[in-house]
Amino acid sequence: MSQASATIKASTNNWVWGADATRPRFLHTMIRVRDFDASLRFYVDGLGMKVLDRFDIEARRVTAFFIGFGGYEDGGCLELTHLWDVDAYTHGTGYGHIAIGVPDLPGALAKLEAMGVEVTQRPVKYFADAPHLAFVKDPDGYSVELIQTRKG
Amino acid sequence: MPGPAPSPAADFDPKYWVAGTRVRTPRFLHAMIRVSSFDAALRFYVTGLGMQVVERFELEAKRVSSLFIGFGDHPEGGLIELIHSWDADTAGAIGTGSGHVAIGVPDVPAVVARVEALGAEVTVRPTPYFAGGPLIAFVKDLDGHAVELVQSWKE
Repeated sequence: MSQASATIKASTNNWVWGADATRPRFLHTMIRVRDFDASLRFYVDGLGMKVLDRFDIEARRVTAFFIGFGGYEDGGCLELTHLWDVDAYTHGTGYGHIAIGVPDLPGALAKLEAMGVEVTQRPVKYFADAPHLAFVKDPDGYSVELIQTRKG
Repeated sequence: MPGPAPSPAADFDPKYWVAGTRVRTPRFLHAMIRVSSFDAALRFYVTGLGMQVVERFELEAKRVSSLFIGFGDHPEGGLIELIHSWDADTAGAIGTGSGHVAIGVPDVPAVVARVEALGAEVTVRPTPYFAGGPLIAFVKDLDGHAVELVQSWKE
């Protein structure tokens, strides 16, 4: 399992999530996962995210990983939570997906598929002047949308 | 307390689809949730939290409308996509696996008061996350999706 590095930065006026402390901003989205090893294989080895922090919260019997492509100040993060006493979760229908922008969608998909990731939507354009997008499932079955960021 | 929002980085590159400063490497774009009503959702996220509508799409083939909302007029740092079905005014079932989206705000108690006045349920009142840590609170949007508010500004 990847080792989290503590990245608490000293600053007088803001917490670790950084430079935009004076205005509201999107920080992260949280999903509950069954198996951190499988999740980190997908999000870190597969998608290239990095582990920012790991918190083991004994009082609530929960472990949380914060992962992201940059630091907390660089955009949205993902919080992976694992409840020590729960092995299964329901996904409902109201929560949809998270979307990751990638410069090379076919390359990203090929890499994930080689790792055994299920592709639920092959690259498609929803309208003419739109980027290609695809959908895959993470190890818990959550939908992850991959959107091509580079044109042509 | 908070000063004016910084102006967005003007480095749009036409070779890329997404404006912003981190378009050449993978990045987080958005989280999508289904909503029963755009009016109610916009009351909460726009009037309550101060987000702005970035784009709206009508996806005829899927019979849904999609609203992208975010802070600032460029997508740096994560958007929320709100999906509304043309055929059902429902947000769908809320499972136990999907937790919440978290928004950093300079003044958690003020935002909690504002969304509460709009009818949002407060499930965790502002409380320090740990001794000496930032204030956090949890509220539910008008469809019951959990939203965490995290204090970004130290007193």
